[in-house]
Amino acid sequence: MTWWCAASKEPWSWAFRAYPGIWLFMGVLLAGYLLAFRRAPAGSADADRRKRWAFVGGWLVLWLSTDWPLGTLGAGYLATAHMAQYVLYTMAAAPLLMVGIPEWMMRRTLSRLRAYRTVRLLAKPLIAGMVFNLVLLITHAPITVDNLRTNEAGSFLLDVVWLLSALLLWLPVCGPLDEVKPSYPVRGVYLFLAAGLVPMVPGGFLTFSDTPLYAVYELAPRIGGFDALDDQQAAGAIMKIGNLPLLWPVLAALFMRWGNEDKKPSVPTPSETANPPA
Amino acid sequence: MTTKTEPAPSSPTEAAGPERNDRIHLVALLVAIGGVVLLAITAIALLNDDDSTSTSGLGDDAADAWGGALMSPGKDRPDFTLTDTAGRPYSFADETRGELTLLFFGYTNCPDICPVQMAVLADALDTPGVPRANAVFVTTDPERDTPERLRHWLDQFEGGEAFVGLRGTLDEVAAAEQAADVAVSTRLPTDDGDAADADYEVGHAAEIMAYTPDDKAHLAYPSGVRSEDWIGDLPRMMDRWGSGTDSATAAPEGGDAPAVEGGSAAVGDITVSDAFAAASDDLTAVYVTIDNAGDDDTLVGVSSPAAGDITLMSGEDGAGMAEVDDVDVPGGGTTAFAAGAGHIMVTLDDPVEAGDTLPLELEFDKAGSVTVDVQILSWNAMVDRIESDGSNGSSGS
Repeated sequence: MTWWCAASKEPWSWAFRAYPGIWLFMGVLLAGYLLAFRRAPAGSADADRRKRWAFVGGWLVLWLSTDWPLGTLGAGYLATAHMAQYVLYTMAAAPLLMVGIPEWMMRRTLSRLRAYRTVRLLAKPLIAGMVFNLVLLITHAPITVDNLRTNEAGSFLLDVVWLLSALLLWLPVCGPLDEVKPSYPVRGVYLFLAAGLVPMVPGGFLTFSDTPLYAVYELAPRIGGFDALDDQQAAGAIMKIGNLPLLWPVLAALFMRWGNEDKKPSVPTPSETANPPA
Repeated sequence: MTTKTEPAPSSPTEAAGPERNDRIHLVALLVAIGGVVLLAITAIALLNDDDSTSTSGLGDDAADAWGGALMSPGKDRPDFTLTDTAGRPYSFADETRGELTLLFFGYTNCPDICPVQMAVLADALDTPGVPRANAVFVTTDPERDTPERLRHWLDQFEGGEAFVGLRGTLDEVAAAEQAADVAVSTRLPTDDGDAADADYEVGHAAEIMAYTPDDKAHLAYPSGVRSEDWIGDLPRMMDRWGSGTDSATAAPEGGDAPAVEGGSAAVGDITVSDAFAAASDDLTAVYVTIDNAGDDDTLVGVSSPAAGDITLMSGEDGAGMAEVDDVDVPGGGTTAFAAGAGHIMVTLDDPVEAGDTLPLELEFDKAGSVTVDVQILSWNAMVDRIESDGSNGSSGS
């Protein structure tokens, strides 16, 4: 029984492979989310409906990118699939999950875990950006991938760390806690630097390396004659530009909101309301 | 749209606070991200350095270990004759004698080891600076591996067109395996025990035998060897068991090919010879000897259709090199662009690899122009060449 996707020396085939650990994880995640609505504050149902769709969307993306076949391919066959997984985790699943969490749920969860102060500190853009990129660099270092992807526990750890770092990345941008969100322009610059610019560095190394860097993918059974070096270069390209389809629209939206914010009339202060100008 | 829940500021000074905080935040963010990028670059560069030293074979302790399994004493190069994919008899000993040769027994339907071993080897042999080697693949499944299928399978690898594919009867293949002193292959029963099942697998030796110019295999490379292991080991094999001749510069056919002289050509009384340079991605120094049997002449220009900027470099040992516009070629003498005395620096349009040639046109004031094919050598071979030549020349003005 294989609980989580990990590298194996079995030749690749499209025969379905079951990973009960992934199903359990995904089931607990969704059930926990939906059950939490039983204790939702009164009057929040309408506002939460759209959030629920967003969360389910993120959950689906997370599942599809973790389970067979993409998860299997990414764990032990193709660096390209590994990188596609990472991009889906960080640029699709995480923002949707973050958008899908209602404020009351986040506050209640953090309160129960006594983690509010920690999360608030981690969510500062400076720290969140650094953590996200450190995780990116460390989890894509050949020594990490070659050692963790070859066993189920390591592979599980890698996936969970990816997800948590991605949730942290998006928390100051689209999370439910307004107090951790900086202004729109800062959010835009933060996202551009943290999610757009820095990943280009390791992506470049993968693209321009003369030799395959990851043993796990170099020595994996070949799929359709896809050369290991070509695979790695394609993975590097995905790391560099795979985030663009989401990143640029989000940046555009942030700057448009910034523009709209400037157009709004300023709210009069209580003293102005009491003493209107003559 | 988000709404701030913090209390409204009560004074202009206070109102400026959040904006100023944002600016500070922004600057700090930029500095921090810049720091992370620098850290990342440094870390990855260090990792790459570690990788390159561990595979360069340049002699640190870690690099002393071979990527393959060392065999002592080495195994003799086997003597067997099979048929290549073109239907011609191929005598392994005769065709590869004195050359770096990698021999593998496998089959094209192999689900795991064979395609990975061959892909890894192909990647390594395709890397600039790695000595050229004969790669010979003997099928252990001649029933399914027709010549066409074998050729097609080999061709799919990077540079696989140069790989030799050999077939024979099962007995001939077994004899070849015994001659190479590897495990004799055997057809494995399928899961359902049906011997007639077309999806059968073949058990075979997983290692690639590496024969060096001394006609011995000192190393065997089992499954799991990476291309960086090959890239590190192949030049070291040549250093240690080569005959002083880099197989990168040896003729592909026949075993008696002499060490290649650099390219040569003549115009009028001038003979340009011994032109060679090291494999490189972008910039290489060309060394060349010019014999002038006539009157004094001057080298006034150098160009190449495969290069951009080309500069003549001249200088005395220890005095540093300097760019010069032209070089005197005295009559009745020899002018050599040699290590420590001068070279022609060429900015390449495309990378050149060992075994390639680079056309170089030399223009002389009186004799006219002549094009010489510069022989591209691996770095190690070039160093050997320079050392064997010694400082035997001087450059002109």
